[in-house]
Amino acid sequence: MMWDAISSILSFFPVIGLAALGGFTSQKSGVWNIAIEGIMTYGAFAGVFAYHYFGNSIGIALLFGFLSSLIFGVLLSLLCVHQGLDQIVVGFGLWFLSEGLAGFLYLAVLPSVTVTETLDPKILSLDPLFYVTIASFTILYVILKHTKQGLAIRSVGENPRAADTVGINVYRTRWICTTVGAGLMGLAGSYLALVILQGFTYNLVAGYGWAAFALVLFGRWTVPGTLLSSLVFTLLIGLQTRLQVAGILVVPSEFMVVTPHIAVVVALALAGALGKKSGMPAALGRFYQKE
Amino acid sequence: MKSPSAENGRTILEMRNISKRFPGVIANDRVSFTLRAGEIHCILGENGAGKTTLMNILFGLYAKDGGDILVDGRRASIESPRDALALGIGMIHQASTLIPGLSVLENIVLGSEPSRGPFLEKRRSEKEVHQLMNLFSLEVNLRARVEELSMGERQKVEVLRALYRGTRILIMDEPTSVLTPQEKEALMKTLKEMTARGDISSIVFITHKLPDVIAVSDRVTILRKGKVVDVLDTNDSTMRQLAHKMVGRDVVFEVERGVTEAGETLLEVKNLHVLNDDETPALDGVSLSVRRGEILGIAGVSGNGQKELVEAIVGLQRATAGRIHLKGKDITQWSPGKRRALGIGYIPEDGLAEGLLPDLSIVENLVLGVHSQPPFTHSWVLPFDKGWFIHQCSVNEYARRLVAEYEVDTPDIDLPAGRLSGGNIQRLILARELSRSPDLLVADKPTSGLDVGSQERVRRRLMKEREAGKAIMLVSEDLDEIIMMSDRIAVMYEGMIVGVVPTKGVSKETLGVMMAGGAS
Amino acid sequence: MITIEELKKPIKAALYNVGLLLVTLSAAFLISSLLVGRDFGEIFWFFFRSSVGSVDSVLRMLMRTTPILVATLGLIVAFRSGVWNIGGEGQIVIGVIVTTGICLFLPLPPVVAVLLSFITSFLTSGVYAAMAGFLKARWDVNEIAVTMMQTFIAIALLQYLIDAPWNWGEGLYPRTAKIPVGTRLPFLLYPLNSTFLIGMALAVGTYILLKRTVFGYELQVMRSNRVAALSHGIDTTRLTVLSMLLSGGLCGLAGTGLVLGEYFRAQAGISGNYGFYAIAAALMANNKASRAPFAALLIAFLSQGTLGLIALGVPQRLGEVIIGAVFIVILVPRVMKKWRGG
Repeated sequence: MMWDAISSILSFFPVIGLAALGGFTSQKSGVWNIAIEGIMTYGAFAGVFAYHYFGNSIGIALLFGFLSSLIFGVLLSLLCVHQGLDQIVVGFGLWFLSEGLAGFLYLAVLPSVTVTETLDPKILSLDPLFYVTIASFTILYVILKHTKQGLAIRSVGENPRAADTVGINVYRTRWICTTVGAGLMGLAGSYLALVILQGFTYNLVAGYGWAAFALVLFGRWTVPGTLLSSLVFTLLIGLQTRLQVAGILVVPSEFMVVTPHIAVVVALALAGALGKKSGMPAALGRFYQKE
Repeated sequence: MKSPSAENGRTILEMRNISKRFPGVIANDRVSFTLRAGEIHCILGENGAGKTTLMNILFGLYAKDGGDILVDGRRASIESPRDALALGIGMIHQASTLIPGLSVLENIVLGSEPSRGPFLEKRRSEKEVHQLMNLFSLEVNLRARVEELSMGERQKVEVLRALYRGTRILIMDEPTSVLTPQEKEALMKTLKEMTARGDISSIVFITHKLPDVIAVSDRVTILRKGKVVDVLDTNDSTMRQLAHKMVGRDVVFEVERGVTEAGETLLEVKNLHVLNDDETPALDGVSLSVRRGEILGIAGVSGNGQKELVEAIVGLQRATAGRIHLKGKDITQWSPGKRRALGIGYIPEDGLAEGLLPDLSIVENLVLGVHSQPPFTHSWVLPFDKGWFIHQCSVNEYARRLVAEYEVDTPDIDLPAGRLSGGNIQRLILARELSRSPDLLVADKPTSGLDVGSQERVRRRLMKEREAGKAIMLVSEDLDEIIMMSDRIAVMYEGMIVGVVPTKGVSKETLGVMMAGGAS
Repeated sequence: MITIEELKKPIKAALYNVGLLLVTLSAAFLISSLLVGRDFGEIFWFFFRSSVGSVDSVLRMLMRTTPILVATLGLIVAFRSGVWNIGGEGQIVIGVIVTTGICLFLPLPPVVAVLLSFITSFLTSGVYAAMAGFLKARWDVNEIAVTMMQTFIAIALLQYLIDAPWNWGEGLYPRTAKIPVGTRLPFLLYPLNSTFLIGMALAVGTYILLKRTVFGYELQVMRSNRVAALSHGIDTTRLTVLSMLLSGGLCGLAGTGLVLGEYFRAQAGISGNYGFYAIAAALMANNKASRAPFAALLIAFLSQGTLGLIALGVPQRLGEVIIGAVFIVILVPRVMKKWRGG
């Protein structure tokens, strides 16, 4: 009974965790991707689209959501990593583009779809993607800490010129991180639509993408920090939903929904006021110009 | 003495007719360069002569517009540092390319990490680097993060990194600029031993310092304005001769200094403390004073608190203890703007990064700081005392006057300032600061990165201010400059002033010892 | 005297941009026509008919331009100082709430209520945004995250008010009662309200503020080089907070205009994503107040045009797709310039 409650709260974790991880991966290599919200919305559409047209399989739908979202990472890399346009500016463009695309294509090509399948097998009543998310955090941690590639990612995020002079391909490293990051955001959106909501609706991401963006900052650009802040945020969402369902309203329900967002603002402000070092990758947001 | 070997003297690297153009400049104009096995070869030239460009091409950082590179007699295509490294060419850059956030070990192995599968083998790499350190008697704490190291230690890490990668040809770009004389000597000794033993085949040593050339090199290639002037055996040449070839005329090693009477004490700093971001002391009880009509030189190896001292005086850093008095007023808690109003002018170390508004026009750059005062403001029809609007005509007129007076070379005063050359940027900043006629001028390395001509102009200008009875605090790493300019010299070491000496009769060696922390 | 040579460059640039716009539109229409099975020409016709096809549609387009323009001006003030205020949508909502509250519930003479609405909306939204500015200036807290979270909170607040305490009590759709007739601003020519003139006046005012005043100059200095600004006596903390105050305040005025000149009440979705469109408009205008009216007009044109496509079964969201695409396409020339080595 107790575990049921916890697991039902945790089942939301992949949405937040994967989105935050996507943002983290991109930022760690030195590239802001502020289009998380839009890419998640697109991923949600793509997932439902694939579910409907490619044989009602959630697994395939998730994969499609991940793969087709990579395009936004590619676009971002082309314009910012290679051409040096402002990452924030392009990020806004991508946000409009991806969110608009999802809403447009949804009406244009997708009938109303209800997802009837579930994602199995469940272990401890949590589905595979929950464990995939946890595994992704672990793998990324190991990569960053114990592999050549991880060292490369950290160095291009800190000092791309230095990385370049020792023969690390700055552009490729950033390109890969940005693209994979976008894929993870899309996957998070697909999961939200397919597993949590069982279908696509407008504005289904409801600010979780922007929250994920903030969670990376709050996690101070470390894997454990991002994991922890995502978990806490997930718990807050779960808690407010449960309280609402149980009819316990501390504040009006319209406010209950945004309590996690309020928490994020307060947490960011407090972290800023109390913290010393932000841990931000030194070259985050800076274009590397090869001379 | 070098052990003669069959290898030595053979040409291992040849660059033929290398050309490189940047927008508006020809950085290298058909430059040829040969490097023999076993030699330390200096590339000598003024700032902007094309030394670094040439070596960046060799190292694959710049694409050349023309010419060939031959390594061991074979044509080599070097398109990225990766290609250069594969050919055994390593480079130590002027600006450190170490990554402060990573550990020393990670920095050394970065790019050629020993690994099993995808995983790093930390223990193995640690062992390998330890062996290297023993072999070359270079000792560094591998676990420390680079940001914790001194400049001398960082230089060691750079050398270790090059050795670790099996570099045969090592390019060093101005490696001595951040070192104490003692550290410099130790480095040069190591380099000579390494080439003598054949650990490294050859070293290319980029510098604009003549004593370095004489002390370390076997041969020297002299560049001027992107062209090769001459290639000489160092043994056959004198400093004056090299200087002549480098600048194309005899250098005036002195700036005329008029006799002035030092007047009243203008700036008085007492027991000043400033903390770094990580709460370690950056300034640990600094006391000094500057009087009217004198230049106080602040000598010291970079990173010993000079920057913090300067910033604390102009108000960009908060003092945690101690007092700063200007004209008898306690300004310790004052904002930078208020201090300026009382009479402080500030020439920041890196004009481009700290003083310039790169995407704003030259006019907008010049008016910064007086932009909210008459005659540059008006209140239009509004009944305010304080002018809220900028008076475009008087601002333009002011800018035109300063551009002419300070010889800022530009076709148009509405051009973004970021498009100016380094010398012009520095003149722009000088114009802005000096036109306010501050009583105290704080100049942080005002000539670094400038060509000799520009340096001379800046120095003369500062001298003129001194003769006009201004107080000047001059921070520099260039001992020659400090000795040439200052009336008194304060030497900083680890956030403290180890001594203040009158310039008359002081030797460079004495200062060097003080800079390394020795007593005066 | 302006010679033809001097005119060539801006004309060329304008033609180039119009060309890009047409190409992007055509591509979007082509894809739409394939997806919904309608004729390409038909889509084109409906798009232009809905946006500029009649006096009424032009007036509607100008009406739609107004809040986008005012919010765009607000964002430009922030962007110019190097602060990413992306919470315009939330600040508009705050303006809506304050205006509705004053006009509905305070027993004031209409003129006073209107004036008070403008002033209070400006201040409330301004302070709301300035909080993010303060956090950034004081502790370097990321303003993108904060202003965005604030937007969700503001929208939730509006939702709460129209659901319960301020609810009209009639109809299914949650909204407030209409504000008294006296507080409604007059129409110039229905449906174009006089708020349009206020918007244009604000554009002129913002232009003067940014271009001609000490404040505008200091904003640019701060964006260009924070350290230099600080060392020359510009109080960057104060300036960041002030710029956000003004930025949020202008967005709040956009909300006031929506209530007093268009909807005459508060309702869900009243802010119409204008705060988000304004981001695109501000960036398209390259942060120049002089170009803001054109950028806002372009966005209004695109969204008004796509509104007409609904009749053909083309989703309205096409508007966002086109805005996103136009946005990216406008960036392309900057890339091309770099390729040519400029």
